[in-house]
Amino acid sequence: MVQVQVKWQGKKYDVEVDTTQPGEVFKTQLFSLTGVAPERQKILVKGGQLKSDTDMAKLGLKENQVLMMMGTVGELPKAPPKPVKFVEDMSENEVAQALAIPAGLVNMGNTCYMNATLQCLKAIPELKAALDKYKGGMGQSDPRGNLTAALGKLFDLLSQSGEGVAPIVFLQFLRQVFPKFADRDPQVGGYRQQDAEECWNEVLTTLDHMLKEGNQESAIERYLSGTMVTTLKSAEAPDEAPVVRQEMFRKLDCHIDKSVNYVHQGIKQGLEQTIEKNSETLGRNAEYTATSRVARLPEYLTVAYNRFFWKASESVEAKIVKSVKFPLDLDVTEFCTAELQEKMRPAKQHLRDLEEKKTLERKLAKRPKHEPKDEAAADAQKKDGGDVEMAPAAGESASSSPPVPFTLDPELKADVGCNPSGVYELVGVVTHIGRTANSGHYMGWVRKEKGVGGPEPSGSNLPETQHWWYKFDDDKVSMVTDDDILKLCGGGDWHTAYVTLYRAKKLE
Amino acid sequence: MIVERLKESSVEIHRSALDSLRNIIRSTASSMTSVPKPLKYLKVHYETLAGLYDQWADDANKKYLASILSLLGMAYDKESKRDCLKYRFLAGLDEESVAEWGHEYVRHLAMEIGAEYGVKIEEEQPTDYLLEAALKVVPFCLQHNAEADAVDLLEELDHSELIADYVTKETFERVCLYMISCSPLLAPPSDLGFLETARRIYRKFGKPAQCLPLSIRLGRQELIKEDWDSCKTRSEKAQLAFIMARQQVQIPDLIDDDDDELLACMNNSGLSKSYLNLARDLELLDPKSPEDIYKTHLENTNTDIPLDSARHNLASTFVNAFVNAGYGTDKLMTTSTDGNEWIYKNKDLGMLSAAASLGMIMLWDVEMGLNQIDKYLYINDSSIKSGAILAIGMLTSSVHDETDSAKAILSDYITEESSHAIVKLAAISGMGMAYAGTNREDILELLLPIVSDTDVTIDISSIAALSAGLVCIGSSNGEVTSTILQAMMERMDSELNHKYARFMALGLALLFLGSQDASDATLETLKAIEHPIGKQASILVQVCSYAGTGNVLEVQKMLHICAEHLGEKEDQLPQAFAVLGVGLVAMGERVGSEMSLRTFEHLMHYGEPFVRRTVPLAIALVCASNPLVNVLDTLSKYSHDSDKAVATSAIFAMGLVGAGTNNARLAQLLRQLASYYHKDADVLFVVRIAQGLLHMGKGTMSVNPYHHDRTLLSHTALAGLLIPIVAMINAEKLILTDSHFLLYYLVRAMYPRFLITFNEDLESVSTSVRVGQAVDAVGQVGRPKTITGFQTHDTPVLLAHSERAELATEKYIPLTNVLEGFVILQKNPDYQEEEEEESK
Repeated sequence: MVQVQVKWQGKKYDVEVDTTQPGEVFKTQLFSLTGVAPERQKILVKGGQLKSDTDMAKLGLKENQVLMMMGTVGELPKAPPKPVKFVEDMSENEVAQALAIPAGLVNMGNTCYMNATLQCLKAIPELKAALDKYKGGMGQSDPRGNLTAALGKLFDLLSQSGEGVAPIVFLQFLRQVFPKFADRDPQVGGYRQQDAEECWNEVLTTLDHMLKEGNQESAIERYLSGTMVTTLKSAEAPDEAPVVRQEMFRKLDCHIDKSVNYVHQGIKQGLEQTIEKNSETLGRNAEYTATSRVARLPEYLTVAYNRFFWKASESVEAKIVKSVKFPLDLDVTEFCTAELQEKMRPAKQHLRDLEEKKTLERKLAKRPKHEPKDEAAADAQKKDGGDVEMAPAAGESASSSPPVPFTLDPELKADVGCNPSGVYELVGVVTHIGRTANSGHYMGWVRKEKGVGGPEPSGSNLPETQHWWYKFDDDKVSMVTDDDILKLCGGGDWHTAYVTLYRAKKLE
Repeated sequence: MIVERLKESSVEIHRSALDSLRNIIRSTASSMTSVPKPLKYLKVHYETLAGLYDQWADDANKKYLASILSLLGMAYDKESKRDCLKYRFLAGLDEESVAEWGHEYVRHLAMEIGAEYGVKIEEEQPTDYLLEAALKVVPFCLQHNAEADAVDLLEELDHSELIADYVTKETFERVCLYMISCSPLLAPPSDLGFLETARRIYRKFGKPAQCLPLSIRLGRQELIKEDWDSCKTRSEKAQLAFIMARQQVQIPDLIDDDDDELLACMNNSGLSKSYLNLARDLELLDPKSPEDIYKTHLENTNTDIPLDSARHNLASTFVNAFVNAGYGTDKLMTTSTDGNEWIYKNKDLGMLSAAASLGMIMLWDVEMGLNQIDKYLYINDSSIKSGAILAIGMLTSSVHDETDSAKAILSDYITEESSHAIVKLAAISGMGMAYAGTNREDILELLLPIVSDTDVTIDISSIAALSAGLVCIGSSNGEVTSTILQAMMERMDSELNHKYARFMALGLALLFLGSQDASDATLETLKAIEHPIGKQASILVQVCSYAGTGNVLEVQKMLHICAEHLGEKEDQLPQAFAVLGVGLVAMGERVGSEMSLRTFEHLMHYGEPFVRRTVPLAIALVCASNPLVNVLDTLSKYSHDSDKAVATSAIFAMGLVGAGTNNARLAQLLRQLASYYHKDADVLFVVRIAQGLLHMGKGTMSVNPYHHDRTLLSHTALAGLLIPIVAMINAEKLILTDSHFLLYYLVRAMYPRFLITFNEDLESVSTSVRVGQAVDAVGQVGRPKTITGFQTHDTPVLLAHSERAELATEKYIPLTNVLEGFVILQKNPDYQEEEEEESK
């Protein structure tokens, strides 16, 4: 019998060894002490291991010699049921799918204007739905029908693919329908760069026409067009009854001159124009002010920036680089008719309440960290006087109460595809970099919806209130943040917003 | 006027005249720094006096005059006839008279003695009389703070060892300090002679803790034993054991088997505990995740992929390992469930590195570590299994436990025929890590058969050679040498072209680390090997032999190799090794390493691409864990080089230069690089590794192989540094593909840069110390401060490179003069508590 010490997991066990027995007995002894199964035990004795069949007598154990035991209780680590798939093993397509980054469009030779436009239009799910419903094929006699079908097909391709898609068919029809897009540069021989806004308008006009089903208005008309009421009045002829005209619009123009720094100002200028016109009552030309007000707001509002003007001296469409800041949330109430404003009030109020509630919730979410302190403060207050303690409690109860129920104006409710609140959020931007409309480079920027598409890029701690954006540089797609989008306001040789697409803010 | 009187024949007058002459000279000489007036006036009379001297009869006056003439000779000796010395001899030698004329005179005299000696040696005439003269001068010098002159004089006469007889209790410290710091600048063999003399002096005054480092530097075991035996108290022995443990000197049978306490000191058993204590004091116990290190939110790119990238995860594995090294906890591996998951988040050999990272995290804590690793040994996946094996090797590096666990577990995997190749490889390299510097025969018996067996693949055989080299590092072991050489000769050319073959050469080179000319015979043999590996090996052996010596001739030789322009087909590795060699040889002393840094800039401008790629690594070698601003600037410049390989090695070098320092500036630079290279997976991987190195041990470690106030070169640490660096040459074939586990060799270089104080019972005590920038006090007059810009802390404290600590109070006396690592403090018997004094 020899007394030895066995070290295991920082503990020491005194064990009596019967040297006449094989190692197995010793291991069983240890099993009873530590609970480590004998086959999982590794016993280390001076540079060697004690095996189950080791003859203990030959080890020459000394009194109080230290042995070390290795071994753990419990299950052995297992490989995860599903092997981890690594980026390195995936093809580019798979990566894009795993990340759910939407596919880009290949530049077919100065077609970035079209790519940027299409990517932004794709951000309108209603349009996509309408295109899906479109029955006509690509072999129609009306090339515009073919164009529509081709667009539907292209959008399908884009949602399936991970790599860039070449929009050959669509481009062909586009050039067929609008020969101006097939304009070639005689010097270089290739196709010319085109104006993205023009493309935007033409495509929408075509779609509007083609997507009409019988008497029903098209999706374009429903979701992308509003009604504008223009009142023509002259200060010189106050007696003359103002002429009121109602017309449809698909975009708001943002005029840019020296005084315009914000998109609001630009739109306002676009809506209030002075024209000279022959006055019947005065019998001469008089100055009239044409004031336009919106009578219906579409769900998707396009704001176009009149950045290009015809410079006769150089016979180019020159660009105004001036910075015009645009907000992520746009409130256009002030451009609406008084009637509409009245109708929209409850919805707007509701949105405001919602916003306040969210901010409060966020604050509360941050709160727990400081809670102990608050409690201490509350305790102190209690001692000071009973009535103060009610204050924080009251505040909290207000925040958790359900939002004030509101009733949407029935007319607005009935009007599918309108914006009932007058408040918009930015979802798409077409930018231009370069000096003239027919040169430079266009890009599309589309907001990524929370919880839709791939996982949020990790690493940078984007606050919850902000969004990620896809940046479509032809077939190169990458992700940027709100901050990067706000940098697109112009004022330098950077990508400058040319067309912005706003969507009505959701009421829930 | 006095001279006139001397011309007269009367002997009595002479006497008084000489007296007055002497007085005049002495009084003026002592008060003025410029040439004293009497001396000016006497100039014209010098010749006359000399003439007079010859005429005079031999008597006391004549000697007296000679003495004066000797002084005057110092000033007027034009034709360098060494008149000063001549008359000195004529005037007779005794200490009093030598001292008579003051300091300037003595120095001059010393100079002339030296010059005379040189002449006499050339003429092959006896020089004993000069030595005799010198020995008269020496005591004066020593008494008057001119120990440098004394040592120099004796060195010129080739009798520096004699100084030991003259030093006193007051002067010996300064003499030794001077001699030690001189020794790297001297040509062999006097450099070793100086160290030996210094050691003798320390011995004479009973300072075993000071002797030991010198004995280690001399590399002679019998001296170390002598020091050990000369210890008077147990605590002194314990202190020696601490120093030996740091240096990894292994001498069998020094301590009785049953003396647990001393064994524990020697075996570094307390290292883990002390390190954790330090961490607790500094509040560093919380594990850090790789993300805490990367701080990606500060990088400019925000397109991080949320998917599992094997490359990215592998980098995180290493960063996690380096950052949490030695703490025993982390956020990826040791948490109860995630550990397994994390391993499987790595690919192929990445799993090896992931499992092995446990060894790094549990570093030095053998008991707990083994149990953490144990469960992975049962897994069938050979990558994970080999990772666990490697982890055991790492775990036990620099610590030795009584059960010899590494050998107990690993040897089975090596000898077993059926082991998977990668398992074998891991076991062999684990063995190397665990037993580096131990010179153990039983380990060699396991390794050498694999080196010589031509049936095993070259990679295993090479790593076995490397491990054997590590085990017998710096020992010039003949058996290992011949085995490796034999293997090189027997292997086929195609095998020797394998990327691992270089480690065979490195293994051979490590055997001769610091052994200087002991490697000559091996170099001759290597010439016989026709394969390029012969040349590779011979350069590696050369530079390793002279590593840290600052030998200028070697540096020149290597530079010559670097400057050659190679043809397309020629092997470029020798050049790369030569570049490393410049750094390796020069790293020993300050001037040399500064010079080498300048040389590197030239190489960077004019060198071949391959040379340029190695330069940053060589810089890292010279400045490991020493982030000098100018070095960082240089490396930062190279990190944007158009040659990607240069950039990669520069970034890795940045990691090593800042290893374990948490240097904020470097962290910033690396973050910028991470954004700059965020699209390039290879470079980004290296950036991440560098970030991990920078925060190694959460900023408490050093990988600099020099310790003990930068005087001792730890061979194993140098090897630990050298192996990853060699693997970074051609990184695209090694570190950047599947051989990343080679980075773990750094474990041998890692050591906490702490100062921990113990009392005589080996219990840790806290005392206040001043920590500041080290100042070179060698040869300075008076009692200069050894540190500057200091702050006062309580132990345990961290010491940065080029920092020194000294005790702030007189309460204790340290048993070693260098406060670094573990230091035992003795109560100062003369010290009285201030309060007590007040109460009196």
